[in-house]
Order: sequence, then structure tokens, then C-alpha cells
Amino acid sequence: MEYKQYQDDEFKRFLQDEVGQHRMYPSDHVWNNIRTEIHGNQTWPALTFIALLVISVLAISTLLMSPSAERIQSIAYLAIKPIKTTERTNQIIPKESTESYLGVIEPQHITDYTLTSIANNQLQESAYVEQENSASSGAECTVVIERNSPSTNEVSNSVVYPKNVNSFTANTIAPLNLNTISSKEATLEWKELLIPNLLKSIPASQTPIELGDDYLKNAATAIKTIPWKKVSKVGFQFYITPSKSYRTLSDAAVKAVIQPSTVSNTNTQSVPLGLNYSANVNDIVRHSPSMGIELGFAALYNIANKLKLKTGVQLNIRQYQIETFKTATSPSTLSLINNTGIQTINLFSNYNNNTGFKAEQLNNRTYQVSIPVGVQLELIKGNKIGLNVEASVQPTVSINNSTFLLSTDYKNYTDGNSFIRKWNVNTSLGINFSYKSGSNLWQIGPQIRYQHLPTYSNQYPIEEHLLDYGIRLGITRQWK
Amino acid sequence: MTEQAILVGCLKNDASAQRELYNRYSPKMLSVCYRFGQNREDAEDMLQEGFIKIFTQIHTFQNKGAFEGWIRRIIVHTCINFLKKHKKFNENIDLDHAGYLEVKEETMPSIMQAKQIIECIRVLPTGYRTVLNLYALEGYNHKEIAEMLDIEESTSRSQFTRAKSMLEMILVKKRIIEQPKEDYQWLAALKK
Repeated sequence: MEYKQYQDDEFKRFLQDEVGQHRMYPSDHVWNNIRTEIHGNQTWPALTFIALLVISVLAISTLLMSPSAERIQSIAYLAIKPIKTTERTNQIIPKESTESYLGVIEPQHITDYTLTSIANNQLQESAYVEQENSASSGAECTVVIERNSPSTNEVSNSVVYPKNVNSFTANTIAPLNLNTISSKEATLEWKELLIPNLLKSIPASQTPIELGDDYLKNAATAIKTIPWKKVSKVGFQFYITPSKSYRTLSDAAVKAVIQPSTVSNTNTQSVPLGLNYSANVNDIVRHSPSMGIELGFAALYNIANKLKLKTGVQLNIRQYQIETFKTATSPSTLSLINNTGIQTINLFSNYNNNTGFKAEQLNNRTYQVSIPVGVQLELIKGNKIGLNVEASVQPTVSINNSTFLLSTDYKNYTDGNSFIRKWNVNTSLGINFSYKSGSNLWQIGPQIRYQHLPTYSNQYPIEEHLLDYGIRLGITRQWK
Repeated sequence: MTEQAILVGCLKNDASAQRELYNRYSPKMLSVCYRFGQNREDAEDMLQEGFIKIFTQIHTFQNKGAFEGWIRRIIVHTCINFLKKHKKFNENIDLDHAGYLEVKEETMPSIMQAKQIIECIRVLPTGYRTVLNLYALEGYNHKEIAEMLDIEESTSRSQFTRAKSMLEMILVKKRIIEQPKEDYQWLAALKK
């Protein structure tokens, strides 16, 4: 009986010694389920924040861009500013001007024609009204429009002068100051507003005038029907970014998972350790950055005065050099972390990290297509030059690769294409100096781009993140 | 993060502390679950259930014993409850049957003896496996096992004896240990 107990104890000790230190790594979804059970569904505050920000900006920009009462008032002011009454003459008074454009329009066109032309051509014009002092047609007016008086700030001089004044005896007609017109009044009650004010402005000594309804109707109609020419909010950009590709390596998983299990197994199975097994991977490899390039085409949408939403498609070519040695074909050990623990596979390799018969330089190159989604913020916006910053998140897919993978004993390089992570996420941040030339906006500036997920799949324990520094050159055209 | 800080964080229902605790203990606990379960999916379900219990019942930990021991007890009880829902414990399988039990080669990476032994344990019938796990690896006595599994104490003893014999046969078959000799200490027979 005692002997049996002894055997049982030894058996227990054997099992505990062998099995006690065994570890298994659960799948990600286990923690996700636990977290969801404990804390509920995870929300991403950033997404909510960005969504709210975009909605707010769109709402504000919409409000700011819509034609307001003040704007209508302003256009009305431009249309007739500054109307000066002058001494009566029987002829049109041409202003001394070197400008080629000098137009005379008939009185019946003063409202819709003038307003429309000003709105269309962004002219700042001044009008001089000459009154024909004839007994029979005392209300006739002639307007002379010229280009060269852009004193738009002379609000106090702004006046409304009606046409079709049926009769009056005054030599001049008093101005009506538009500053006194409220937005509501300006848009809704032109007639009610103008008539009393106009009448009020005429000195008592003068005979009251009669204002024709036509003028008021025409004015209101014209303002309502001004065909505002909207500046397009959409622009298109082509850019090219020569960049230098760097990479960061982390072998934390190798140290934490692969090496302990291998070391423990060497006690029983006499597996030799790699020469470089205790060193950090960054101290072992000899990598050097190399030139890559980004080519992209993007659409920009003005969501606010200085903020643009930017998205498009981009081709990335990233590469770096690996210094290695050519050797005879030999097995290369890859320890992979998978669901059932550590799996070791052997691949053939012709490149040794430490020794060989010939120095060899390998080119680790990846081709990617990404869809950047980001924003561009104008920091300085001058007539010609400007400064903006932009940031984007770039879902990326690898389309073709020529990569070499370091074996997990750090000895060899082997074909790594089958371990490449298909989908990845990059983030880009850049600052651009812009110059406007004609209808093109040129921009140039530094850019940094970081790949968030490791280049290789989660099975491969050495994490590699790519980092590109480049100079972006772009040209942007506004959509007509 | 220290164990005390993790504990305090978990008491405050802090997600980062819970994650830290999970990261620290889940590999070891999944190995425990794997020994009890039929497959990895079962093991992960057990682990998930166990950690939810740990996080929701952490206020009952009285800081008297080892924190890991408390976690391990919860996990083991979760595994037992999980098996009770799905399995029978009073399985009596003739020892000759052990010769037909197959240990899948592809599930046994050659570099890991611990893994091999676990795989051998996992091919045992559920009742045997459970008693073996509880008695030999988790340190429960037969009386406790009988209470946990709602079986007789004698049943627990007999199942352990059968489980041990069956496991020995499998280990010999897999050449992890040599053929035990009757008058030879069991440990001396182990392959070094």
C-alpha cells in the first residue's frame, strides 16, 4: 500500500514537473468576449468624435455658405453704390476713365441687369444717376456704370434711387441709407421700407414724389433670382512622394515565448541554440533604408473654409536593403506562434546572416495600394502662398512583395512572401507649403508615414513596422 | 503593474487592470482548461467563463492565499461545471481499450514534451481524465474530488488508478517513458 502511494506521488510529481509550466495562448476573441460580457460592447470614441465633428463642420459650413439676408443687402448695396445725385444735366456724364468697359444702361434695367452683372462679374461699380429734369418725364434716370471706384466700405454713402419716379420737382433726390435696413426688412418688405424712407428723406419743401411699383417689384425679383455662381467645393490632386523607408523590429515575442520553450527543450532534446539567440534582433541584422515612392490621386472636398476632406487611391512602393551572405542551401528554422502553441517549420535558405562565401544585398520590397482618408487644414492662406497640414488613415492592401524573412534563430533569411499580412493600416502626417499658379495649386512638404500592424502575420514572432519619410509634391485643381 | 495594483484595478472594474490580469494568467489557465476539455474550443469557452467569474467575483478574494491559487480554483471549478453540463464522469473503460486510443501525431509538435504529455492526457476518457487532472495535477484529494464530481470516493480512487495505468500505456506507446517494471521505482523508469 505504501509502495503504491509512493508510486502515485512520483507519478504526480512527474506530471506536475512536465505539465506544470506548459502555456497556451488564447485567441483574441476570448478576451473580446470577456470584455464585452463585463463592460458591454466596446465603443470607439474617436469614431463618434470624428463623426460629430464632420457633421458639425458640414452644418456650420452650410449655414455660412447659404445666401443670407445680410448678403442680399450687401449685393443690393453693391448694385447701387455709391449713387450720387448730381446737378441736373441733359446728357450722360462720362467719367474720365482708362477702363475699356463703360456701359450705359437704360433705367428699366437698373435693377435686374445691374444686380445680375455685379453678382456675375464681381464688379465693384459706382453709379451716377442723372436726372432728366423735364416736365413730361421727370422720373427718367440714366445710370452710368464704371469700374474704377471700388470703395466698397463707403456704407454711409449708399443710397437707393428709384426709377420711374412719376413726378417730382426736386433737383436732387435724397439718398436712402441702406445701413438702416435690417435683414428682414431687406428681404421681405422692400416696398414698405423704401417708400416711407424715400418719402421721408425728401425735404418738406419739395413736392412728394410717387414711386412706381415696377421698380420695387423688379428689385425684389432681381434679388430673388440672382444666379449665384458657386465656387466648387471639390478639387482633385495628384501627388508623388519620394520617400525613404525605414523599419522597426521587435523580438519581444521571441524572447517571451519562443526562446523559453526552446531553451527548456534543449535540456531534454539537445537542440543547439543559435549563436545570436540572446541578443536583440536589432543588434543582429544589418538593414539600411532605401528609396521608395508613393503615387496618389485624391479628391478634396471643402467641408469648411480651411478644412478639406481628402480621399483617393495611392500606390506605395517601400523597400529597404538587407546585408547578408550567400551560402549553400541550408534549412532555416521558423518558430511560429499559432493557436495550438509553437510550431516550428523548416524552410530552405541560401542567405546566412553571419557567414557565407559571398556578401549579398537583398532588397526587401513591398507594393501596396491604399485608400487614404483624411483631412487637410489650412494654417496660412494667402493669395498665392499658403501652408497646410494634412493627416490621413490609410487602409492598405499588399499586392505584390519581394520580401525576405529572418529566421527565428536569427541565422538565415528565407522567402517571406507567404507570411506577408495582406491587409494593413497606415497613418500619414504631412505639412505642405503651397503656391498658387493660375488655376493650379502646387504644394510641397515633408511627410511621415507609419505602418501600424506588423508587416508579417501574427504567427511570425518578430514584428516589423515600416516607417517612411518623404517629400510630397502635389498639384491640385479645383473642379469647375 | 504589480499584482496588488491589478487586484485593486479589478476591484474597481478597470478594464486595463483586467486585461493585465488576463494577459498574466490566461496562458497558464488555458493550459489547465485544455487538459480538461475535449478540444481547444471547449478550453477557450471554459477559460472565458472562468475569467468572467473571476472578474465578477473578485471581491470575494480575501487576500489570504495566493492570488494565482484562487484563480486556478475558479478555473478548475468552471471546467468541472462545464463538463458536468456535457459529459459523464462514471465512465469505466477497460484498460485494453487504451491500446486503441490514438494520439494524433499532427497535434503533437515534436519539440515539446509537455505538450505531448498533455495530448496523451487528453485522449483519456472524460471521467478518467478529469479525476487524473484533479488528483495528480491540481492537488485535490479523493474526498474533494468525489464532492466536486458527485461520485463516490472509491469511484474517484478507482478511476484514478485506471487513468494512471491507461496513461502509462499511452506514454510507453509514444516512447515518452519506458515500460514500467513492477519492482522498479516508477520515476526511474522515466525516460530522461
